[in-house]
Order: sequence, then C-alpha cells, then structure tokens
Amino acid sequence: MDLFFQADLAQQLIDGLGRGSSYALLALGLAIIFGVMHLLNFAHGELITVSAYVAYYLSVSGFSWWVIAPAIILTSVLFSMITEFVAFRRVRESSDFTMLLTSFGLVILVRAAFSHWVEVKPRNFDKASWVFNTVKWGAFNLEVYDLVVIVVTLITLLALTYLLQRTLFGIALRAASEDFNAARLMGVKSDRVIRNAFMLSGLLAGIGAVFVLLRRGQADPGMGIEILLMPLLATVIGGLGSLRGAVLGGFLLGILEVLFRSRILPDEYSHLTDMMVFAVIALVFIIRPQGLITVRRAERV
Amino acid sequence: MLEVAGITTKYGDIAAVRDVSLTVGNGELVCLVGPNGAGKTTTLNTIVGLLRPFAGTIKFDGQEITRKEPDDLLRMGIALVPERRRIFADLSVLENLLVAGSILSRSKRQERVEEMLTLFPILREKSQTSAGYLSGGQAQQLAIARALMTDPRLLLMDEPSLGLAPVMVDFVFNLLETLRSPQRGMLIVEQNARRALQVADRGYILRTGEMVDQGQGQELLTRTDLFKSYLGE
Repeated sequence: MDLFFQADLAQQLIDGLGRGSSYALLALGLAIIFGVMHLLNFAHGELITVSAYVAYYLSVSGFSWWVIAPAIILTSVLFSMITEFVAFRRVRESSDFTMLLTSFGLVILVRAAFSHWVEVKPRNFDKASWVFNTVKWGAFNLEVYDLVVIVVTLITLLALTYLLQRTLFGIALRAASEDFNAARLMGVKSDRVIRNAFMLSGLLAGIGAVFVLLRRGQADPGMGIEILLMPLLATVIGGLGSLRGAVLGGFLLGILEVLFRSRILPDEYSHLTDMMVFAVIALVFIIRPQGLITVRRAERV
Repeated sequence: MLEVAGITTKYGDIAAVRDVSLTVGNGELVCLVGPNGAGKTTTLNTIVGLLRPFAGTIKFDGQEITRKEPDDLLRMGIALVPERRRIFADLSVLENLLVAGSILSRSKRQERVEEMLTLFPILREKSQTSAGYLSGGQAQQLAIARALMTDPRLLLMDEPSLGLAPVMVDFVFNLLETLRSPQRGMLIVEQNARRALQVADRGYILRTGEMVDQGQGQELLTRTDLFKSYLGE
C-alpha cells in the first residue's frame, strides 16, 4: 500500500470519525432514554431544531460562537427536560406505542410551531469561520473541524464513562436502564432517574447539535427528523439499550458514509451513498437482528 | 407490623389476588405458600408498591402504605428480595450493593457494604465481577445482601430457593434463621411449601388468588389434606 493511499485512507477515516462523532453522541442520547423508558424518542432530533433557532437568533444579534455554542447546549438540556415533564411523564404508565406516538406528536408540534411563528423556509446564520480550515501534518491534510469534533467527543465519552462507572448517579442510571422496577425496589426514585436520563441525553444532543450547526449554519422546522435518521439507525444497529453499541454504531455509520462517498463508489454514483449505507445496515440486521452488542442476561445455574 | 387487609389486585380485568388478608408481627417469620399461579408474587409486589391494589389496604406499623412508591417503602424499612433475583447483570457485585444502598448516606452505605461482604464472603471474592457471571447460588446471596443493605425491619422474599441446588437451598433456609431478630419481621413466599413451613412461625395458603387456609407453621405441616388439596402433593 503506497504512502499516498495510506494518507488518503487515513484522512477519510478521520473525516468518517468526525462525521460519526455527532451520530455517536446523538445515538448515545437515544440509547440512554431507551434504557430507562423503552422509548425510541423520535423527538430527540427536535432538540437540534430548537437549538438551531436559538443559534440563529443569537447569530443575527451579533453573538459569536463562543456564546452560541454553550447556548445551544443549555437549550438542548432544558428542552429535553421540558419534553420529559410536559409530555413523556404524563404517558409513562401507558403502552410503549402511546409513548412512541407522543414522541411523533412532539416532532409535529415543533415543526408546526416554527413553521407558524417563524417561517417554513430555512433561516441561515454564520457558520464558524474556522470550520473549513485545514492543517497539514506530514502527508495528511486534516480538517480542523474533524480534529476538534473528535477530541471533544473523546473527552465527552471519557467524562460520560467516569460518570456512569464511578458515580452513584451513573450506577443508578445503568441499573434503571437494565431493570427499571428492580431499581425502584433498591430505592431509586423513578421520577428522578428519568429526569436525569433526559438531562444527560439533552447534554449529549446539545454537544452533537453544536457539531452539526457549526457546519450547517441553518435552522429549518423540519431538520430534526432528517438529522436524527443516522443516529437512530446507529442506536438500533449498535443494539438497543447498549450505550457502547450506540457509540460503535455512530462511528461505524460515519466511516461507512465517507468511505462509500469518497473511496468505494465512483464519483458519478456518489449520490447513492445513503442507499449503500442503508444496504449495509440491512445486512447487519439480517446477520445480527439483535444489533452489534447485546446486554448479558444469562445466569449460570 | 404488617397488616394486609382485603387486597384485590388486577391485571386488566382479571383479579390475580382477591380479598387477601395477612399479618406479619415483629420478630415473626411468616410464609405464604401455594402452587404456581396462586398469586403469591402479585401479593408481594402489591405490598412493596410495584402494583396498585384495586381494593383493600396495607398498613405498616399502623401507617397506611397502600399507595406508596417502592423507594418510600424502602425508606420506611420494607425491602424485597424479588423472584428470580433480578440482580443487575451488567453491574459488578459491588455496584449492585451500592445501588441498593442509594438511600443511605455515603458513610453508612460504605459501612453496610463492608458488613454484607463479611456476611457473604463469596461476594467479597467476586466484588468486581459482573453480576451476570455469578452462579445461581451466588446471585441469590447477592440478591439477599442487596435487600439487607438498608437493614430493613420487614424483609420480603419471593421464592428464595427457586432454581437453586439442594445445598444452596439449605444455605438459604439456614440464613433465614440467622436473619431472625425481635425487631425484624419476614414474609417468605415459597413453592417449596414443606421447607417453608418448617422454618415459619405461621403460614398462609394461597390458591388461585384466594386465601384458603392459615395457621401455625408446624400445625400446617401435619395437614396432609392441605398438601393434597391445595399444594398439589
């Protein structure tokens, strides 16, 4: 394998990891909610929609991304907790189907609200100035954006790992994800653990939203479900309920996307990238319907 | 200590338990026996707040607890060792104990963890092991240790001998004797009726959701008619 090929492949892998980082963080948020509520929260993408409009209004008011980025994260956390309190808590004792419908209802509500009170057309705002800068490192020409996103994601994942493994907050959340009623028997308050799950999920979505919006620079009412598609598939392909699976699925889809677009498919077929990625996902489901990672349940006799 | 009066618990339109009443006094070991599907687990789950009764009341030390949440009941001193253990397989043994002590202060929780690891030496040996890798007997010890973390005044156990090897069944029933104290009441649900009645002070017989008999443990043991009619022997 010649050096140019290696450098080219390495760049594409880094690009894929960069793309996969936002997928992984959004997928993690979905997996956390699924763990405690057995709900695939389709309204998760609306955290990004709401955050995008906050970013838009801050941007046109002259604020820099040093202000916009934390505002996006805060908005995402607050809106996530609001959806839990206003919508999902009311239907928690209902069937899984009712909760799923509630999440769809939120998607429609957010889309209708912004279409009505802002407008249907997208609103553009300034992307971060450094987003498309590149840096040369030996044979590699790397995008600053990818490097920043990967480093921030790694730090986030390390912090999350510490939170989940070393704090009672995290241990209780993992316990509730595995067996919610058994956790209640151990004294874990159901309202509190679900609220914490939505808060954490909102935080991860907020960081993911920053990555997405830095480059997208656009807010539109229907963006939530569009952005959510890949993370949703990452959650399922990784194994529903598995946090590691969600991260693995996110990075895998990001890498696949880039490799198909830049390396595997000829240029004239690059528009078929999504189709090829979905074909791989379908193949994974055929071979491993439970997803890439499954949670241990068996007890030796 | 515990007064269950006329509880009826339904799943949809079907009453799994109908008009069930029982009591557990301080220092008593009471067993609730019956065949599969009798409603024993439903009764326990109603007492600990996982299920809401359609009718009836539950009192603990004279205070009504019928609609309280499981975590509130744990704070009051009621703990359950669930059927089939329900340990957290992805958490380590130590993490399982820490979760079970989540209502305690940090120092108290550490103190109780140390006590449980001393009471169950195998758990100390396996403290960093994922609970999913424990054998059935080890998992049962963990499940009991979890329930004891808050030093409950009322200990409920759902089928503690289920799926265990005979030597572990002996261990569990011997353990019940060591857990007895004048301040603690115990309510044990068992399909192994003979074994349960041997250790119990009193027993209740449940069948198809209804209480059909009750009495002193030793007295019920001698009732062959009971075992033929209600316990399927």
